[in-house]
Amino acid sequence: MNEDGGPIFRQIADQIENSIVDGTLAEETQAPSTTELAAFHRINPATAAKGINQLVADGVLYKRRGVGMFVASGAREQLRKRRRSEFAQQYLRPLLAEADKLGIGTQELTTMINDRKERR
Amino acid sequence: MNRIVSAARLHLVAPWLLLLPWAIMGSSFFINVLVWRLADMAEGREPGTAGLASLYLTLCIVYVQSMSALLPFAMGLSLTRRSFYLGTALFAGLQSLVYGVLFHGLLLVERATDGWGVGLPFFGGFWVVDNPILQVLVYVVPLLVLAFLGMAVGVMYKRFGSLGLYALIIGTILGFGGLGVLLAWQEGWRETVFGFFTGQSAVALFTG
Amino acid sequence: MMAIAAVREVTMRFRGHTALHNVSATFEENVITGLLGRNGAGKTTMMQLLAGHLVPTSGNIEVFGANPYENESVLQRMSLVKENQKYPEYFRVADAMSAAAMLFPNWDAGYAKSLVADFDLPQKRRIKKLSRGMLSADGIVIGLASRAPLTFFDEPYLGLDAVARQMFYDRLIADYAENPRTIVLSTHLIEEIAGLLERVVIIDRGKILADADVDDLRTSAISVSGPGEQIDQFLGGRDLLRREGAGQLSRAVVRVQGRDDRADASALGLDVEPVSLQHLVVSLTNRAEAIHPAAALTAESAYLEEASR
Repeated sequence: MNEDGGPIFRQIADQIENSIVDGTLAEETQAPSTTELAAFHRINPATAAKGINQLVADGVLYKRRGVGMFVASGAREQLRKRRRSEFAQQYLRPLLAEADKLGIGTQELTTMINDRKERR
Repeated sequence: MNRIVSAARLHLVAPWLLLLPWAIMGSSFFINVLVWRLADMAEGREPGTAGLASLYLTLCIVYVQSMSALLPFAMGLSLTRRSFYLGTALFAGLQSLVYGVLFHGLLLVERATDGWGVGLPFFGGFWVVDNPILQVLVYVVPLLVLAFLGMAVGVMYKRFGSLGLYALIIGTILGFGGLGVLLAWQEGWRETVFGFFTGQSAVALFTG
Repeated sequence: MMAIAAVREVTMRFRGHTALHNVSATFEENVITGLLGRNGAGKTTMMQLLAGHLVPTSGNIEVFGANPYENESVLQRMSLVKENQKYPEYFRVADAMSAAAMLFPNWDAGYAKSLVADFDLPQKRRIKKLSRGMLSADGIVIGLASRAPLTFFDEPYLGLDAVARQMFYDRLIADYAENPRTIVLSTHLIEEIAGLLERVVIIDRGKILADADVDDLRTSAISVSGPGEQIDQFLGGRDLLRREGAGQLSRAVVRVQGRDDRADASALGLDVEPVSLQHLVVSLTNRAEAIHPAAALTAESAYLEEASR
């Protein structure tokens, strides 16, 4: 856990969201428990719980009585949508600012993007 | 009540301290037997040796130490001072009783073997009375007194440090010395008081 | 959240030295709270007051709703692992465990056994003969296995190497997750345990600098770096905690309210970074001690030096 990376509970929530978005944590499967998260990341269980609760409040996880926390159906789509709208702010803005600094025009930028995509 | 019993049980955790007085007395005993044997002291000798006293003194010291060693430890395990004192007092009482009975038993053995085969009045001597129950008491009471004295000194030491202890000793000497002077000065008193003490039997002294 | 222990306007004076000046702080139930501060700041004194080992010169202490001093029912539910705990001369490790089993109502012997094995403690060895690290481990085992609803650890890691320290933190978290209890941990190794803490009480030279939730505290300030002039501009009416460097390479730790402040800083062309708990504590402490910037660096390295001991 990154001490300098902002609130730890937020980092926990982000990590879980990441695994939902890239598919490693499937919908309707069980999410890691607070005890597991606390032990794995070596953080206070209450902090881990805070991260989980945040995801429950966002509708990404839900609680199954007596069993634990599960990934909600549609969570993946929901998160993707949210991240798509944040994409411009989070990634495009700094990219374009940097491109500006280096004098890379839109034309050149497009070429670079296509090249990159081919290589993958 | 539970806490006090637990505090008493604390003294049993490491038996080293329980064995020490016996070890000291044991060595004193063996030395006495040897001396008695070699020097054939049974004839015309005033009854009583200091052997038994060695155990009593050691016991007293053990209790002094328990205050500086066991008490801080017990407090570290969340025991109140009060429970510790009461628990120690309880333990002292039981210990004295057990020791008293043991000594009486050993006294009987001593009598049966006629002074351990060499006429040594280790458990006998001036500590002896006729009634067995009183005999046990004769052993027990000084043990108790010394245990509590040890506790008191230990507490004083903890609270006031070595300086305080020296002050206490000096104060006590002065106090008794002063008392002695006072008594001597009062001629008339002298007869009465000293006469009173020497007139008492061993029993009365110990029960008093 | 319930306050399970509190010091209220407590002053503690020893012969010629005041350890605590009119301090007030609360400790919440079933929360792991860190008591942070430099050596001699007053952490141990505060813990001893809360554990009923000392009586405050003025003010009052409340634990489980009562004064802990010589209070049987309160003390039974508490455990204080001191860094200089005295043991009787002849006691062995196994004896200390037996004694603890007698005196702690919630003692878990099985757990104690597994911890002793984890820390490699020689059961039959006399406590006086243990190394500093093993002595700490012994204290840790007693504190953890006591399962006391209120457990204090006073700098429990002294002499423990990094591996053993990590084991302590892991065991602590694991047990706390299964059996929640109130834990107060004093330390000057902030970075290591920052993740464990939910709340912190920061103390410096007998005064409280902060009593807050860790996340709240960490997001209450940011570190801005860049040209000194821009920093001055950003500072405006804001609360400066610490200033470093000069000219183009200046840095400041500043108290902020929210996102807007961050935006303002970025707009001025400053680099904005979050502040680690250790950095924040050092900044707060330094400001309280009003040390000249050059000496402030010494304070930080003092924290770091102590960490590597």
